[in-house]
Parts: sequence; structure tokens; C-alpha cells
Amino acid sequence: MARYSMLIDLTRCIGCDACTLACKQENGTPLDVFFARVLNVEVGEYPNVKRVYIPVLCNHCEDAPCLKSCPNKAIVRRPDGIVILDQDRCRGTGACVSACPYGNIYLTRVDDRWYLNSDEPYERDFVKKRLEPQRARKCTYCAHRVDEGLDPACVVACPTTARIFGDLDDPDSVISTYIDEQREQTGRKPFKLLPQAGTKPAGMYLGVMADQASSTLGEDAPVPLPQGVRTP
Amino acid sequence: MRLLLNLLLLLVTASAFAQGEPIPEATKTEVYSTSNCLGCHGQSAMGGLGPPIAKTKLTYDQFLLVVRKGKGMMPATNETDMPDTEVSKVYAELQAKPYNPDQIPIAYKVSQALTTRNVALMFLAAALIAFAIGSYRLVKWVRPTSIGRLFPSMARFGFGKCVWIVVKSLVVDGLFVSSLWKANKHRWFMHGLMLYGFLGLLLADVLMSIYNPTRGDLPLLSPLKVLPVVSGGMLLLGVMYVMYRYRSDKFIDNGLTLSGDFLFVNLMFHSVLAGFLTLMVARLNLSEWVMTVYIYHLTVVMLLIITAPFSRFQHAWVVPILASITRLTEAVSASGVNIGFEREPSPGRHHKSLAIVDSVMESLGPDYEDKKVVLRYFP
Repeated sequence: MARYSMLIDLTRCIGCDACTLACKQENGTPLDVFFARVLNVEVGEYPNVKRVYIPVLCNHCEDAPCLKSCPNKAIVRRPDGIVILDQDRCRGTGACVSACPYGNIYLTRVDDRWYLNSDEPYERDFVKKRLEPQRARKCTYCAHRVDEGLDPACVVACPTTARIFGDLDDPDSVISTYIDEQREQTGRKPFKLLPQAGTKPAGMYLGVMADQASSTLGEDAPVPLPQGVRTP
Repeated sequence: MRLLLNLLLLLVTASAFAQGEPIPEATKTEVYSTSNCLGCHGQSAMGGLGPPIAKTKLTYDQFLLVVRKGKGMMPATNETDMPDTEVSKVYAELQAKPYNPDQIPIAYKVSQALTTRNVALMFLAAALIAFAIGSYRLVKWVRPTSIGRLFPSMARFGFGKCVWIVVKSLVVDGLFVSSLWKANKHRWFMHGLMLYGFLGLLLADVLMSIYNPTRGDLPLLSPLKVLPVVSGGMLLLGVMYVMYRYRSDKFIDNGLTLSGDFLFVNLMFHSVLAGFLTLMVARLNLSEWVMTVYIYHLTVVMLLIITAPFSRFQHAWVVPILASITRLTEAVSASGVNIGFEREPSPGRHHKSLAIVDSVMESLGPDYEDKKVVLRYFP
């Protein structure tokens, strides 16, 4: 059985929010609901300031607290590791929202709105049909696409291939080879968010390479080996 | 766990009936060995589930009184069932029987140890252990909500208002289960059968400890009897419905908690059922079964309490607490004292994001650790 995971390379992320938009379009999420958001972080103080972009989405935890907290059993972990929230079973209790340490479950309590008043087929047949207040929502790793053999929308949209999606159990998958390559070439090992929460997330991150900045400025620094997502 | 229960039952019943040696022909003329007495007091009158009565120290008058009025679990026997002449014959036969302490069965010793006080102490200990483990696990539930990071905003919002929101949410979301009420009245009713049935049983237990501490038998229509019977009936109905639903719902396995769910539902079902069985066998005068069924009931309830922090039982306190944290976070962020959001569809998203940032900075190494971090939002 597959074990799906998403690896996000922070070195490659340029904070363009294409993933955020692609996700919104794919999932038709209402106003203010963002399954795939990007945190804009300023680190340090002038004159030594750095900006780090941290794309955040549901981590599809192995020991998902949202799932365990749901009193209606509306959240299910599929055998392939994708954690799905079933809106038909959700009663809007709101326990999962607090249980998630990453703030990646959305529950609109009062109203659900769409941005525009237009009545195009996309709005009429897709988005507005899915406006359901008092139902929790979360990222599904685009399970509907994954089941068809496609990558999640945010992965496809990423212009710098900072997001790498695949099956960790398959040693030849894109994500497994990328992890191996990066370990060899740049010595980076994937890390997970909030390990102290004990949720065993499936989502992983690769750190920022500080060397890159100095080499871009032409200083006498070791040039990192080229990184390719797919090497022959 | 089934195995454990079965073993225990086997032990209790086996020792209770360990006395079943073939009856010697001569004793068949005895009144005692043909009477109902030996069901509980054993073939050799050295006790079964009832106490040993060979060479009883009671005077005949006292003996007769016990037979006529009953004592504890022992049912009263009237004169048509057993005339005075027979009672006196039994009394004489008992005096003639040898008193052999080795023959006192374990079941009787067990039942002697199960005094009201001992049972209460045992359950108090179990409840304390479950409470300690439950609290430890509750901390593990609450810590990831990063509610601590919200304290400065809560201070600006006013702690009094925060307490009010939490209490209101615990009552409305927890006790009244408003989300089910709004979404599905049928589910609310079924859930209510269990929730209020269970609360009724708890209340009955507290009242019983106050007004009937020896747990003596009560008339059928006494409020202290009606409350637990009605509550238990509600609970049984609700649990049976859930068991049916567990069978019919093909999405009941969420991939993580199924064993804990089944454990809770089955233990709850067995404890209520055994409770009613205890009442029933007592009322049907099946005295040789009362202690067995009662011990079974006690064991299952004990297991239910001990496993509570790990089974589905924990949703009873985890869900209301998490939901109240959600309401609190929602209110605090909507008030604008946090970072000025009008609304936050995932309440607590901002301070959870800060927790994520801290975690990432820690993982990024020395260049990023212990630096000032600002989270920017762009409209």
C-alpha cells in the first residue's frame, strides 16, 4: 500500500502563492478558507533580515489528533495515509479545529461566502454548491486527483517545483529519489513540523540552504551542486 | 479482554459449584439436601455463595427469623414453601454436620470481601487512577492547541469574559450537544439517551451513597430505584443502537480508533446489561447466580473506568474541552484584540502558525534560531 507524502523544499519556495490559488480553484473553497497557505516570515532584525516562506497545508498525520477528536467519525485515514474529512458526517462540533496543532482545519460557523457575484458555470455548478456553513473542511492531498494518478493541484502549480509529492514506500518515486539526492548532494535531511506534538506528520520539509545566498552574490563560497527533481 | 472476563467468570462459577460431589444415598432423606438452601450454602453446608451454616451459632429462633425474613441477598421463605417443622429439622441436621473450614469455597470468601465499603474503595482507587491518566492525556490533547500563545490576547480581551465563554460552551456544546441538535435531531436523541442515561446513573450513584450508604434493597418504586433503572434503560437502548450502527455503518473504521471505539461500546453494553441482570436474578430469587452476575457487573464497570482514558470514552471530556477552546479562540480573534483579524475560519490559525514558524526555525539551524520572527500577512 502506498504511503503518500509531500516534501516541501524551502530553498525552492519563492512565496508566489501559486499553490494557494491552485488549491482554491481546484477545491472551490469559500472566502477566507485556504487549505494551502504560505507563511511569510521575517527572521532577524535590520540589517540582518531574512525572509523565509513556509508553505503550510494539512500534514496528513499518521496519528492525526483531528481524527481522534472527531465525535462523529467524520475524519478518516485511508490506508494510503490520506486523511479525509467527510462533510456529510460532519456536524460542526469544532473539536478538530482546536485539536489540529497546525491550524489547518477550517470551520465556518455562521456563513460561507464566495468572492464574486458572477454566475459562471464554475461558480454555479461547483463552488456555490459546496458552500456549507458549519461543516469543517481540510486539505485532502487532492485525493480525487491522486486516485486518478495525478499530482495534487498545488504541486502541479508550483513554478519552482518546491513541492514534491509521491509515495514514500516506493523507493523509485519522485519523492524518495529527491530525498536521497538531497541527502547526498546537499546533506539536507527532511524535517517535520512540530515534532513535539507527537502527530507523526506525513508532510516533510527540506531546509533553506544558507550557502546559496552568498554564491549568488559572487562571494568565494562553495557552490552547491545542481539540484534536479528528476535526474536520469 | 473477553478471555479475561470468561476466565474470571469460570473461576467464580467453578468454585461456586465445586461442591457438586455425588449425593450419598443416605443423605437423600435429609430435608437440607433436598431443600433450596444448598443452592447457596453448599452440599456440606460449608457455604457456596452464601455463608457456611454447618454448626450454626444462631439459636433456633434467630435461625427461623432469618429463614422467614431473609437476610442480605438471601430471600425470605414463607410457611407454605417450608413449614416450621421442616425448618427445625434442617436446624437439627445442620447442627449434626461437621464444621470443616477447608471446605469454605473461594466464591464465598470473594463475596465476603465485596462489602459495600471495599467495593467503594476499589472503585475510588480505579477512578483516581483513571483520572490521573486521563488528566495526563488531556494535557497532551490541549498542549497542541497552542492556547498558551493566546494568553496575552486573552488578557486584553478580559479573562472574565473568557471564563464565561468556556463555561457557556461546556454547557451548550458539551452538556446539551448543540451541534447535533442543529444538525440532526434523531442523532441528538440517540446520543442523549446515552449521555443523559449515563449522567442519571452517576447521579443515582451519588444519591445512593448519601441516602442509602449500605446499598440495602429498596422498594421497587423508590426514587432511588427508579432513577438508576430508567437511566440504565436509556443507556442500554442508546448503546444497543450504537452497536447496531457500528454493524451497519461501513465507514465506522476511521483507520485509527476502531479498537478503542469497540472497547468502549462493548464494555458499556456489558456493564449496563450485567447491572440489569443482577437486578433480575435478585428479583427472580436465583440467589446462586446473584453474586456471579454482580461480580461480572463490577468487573466490567471497573474495566470501563480503567480503560476510559484510552477508549472512546475520552470523547466525553476531550470533545467539549476542545470545542470550548475553539469557541474561545474564535471569540478572542473576532474581537480584534489579537492581530486585528475580522474573522479566522480556522480559529487559532495565527498563533498556531507562530508555533509552526518556531518549529521550522529550530529545524533550520543556528542561522535562524533565537532570532526575532515576524509573521507578515498581505491583503
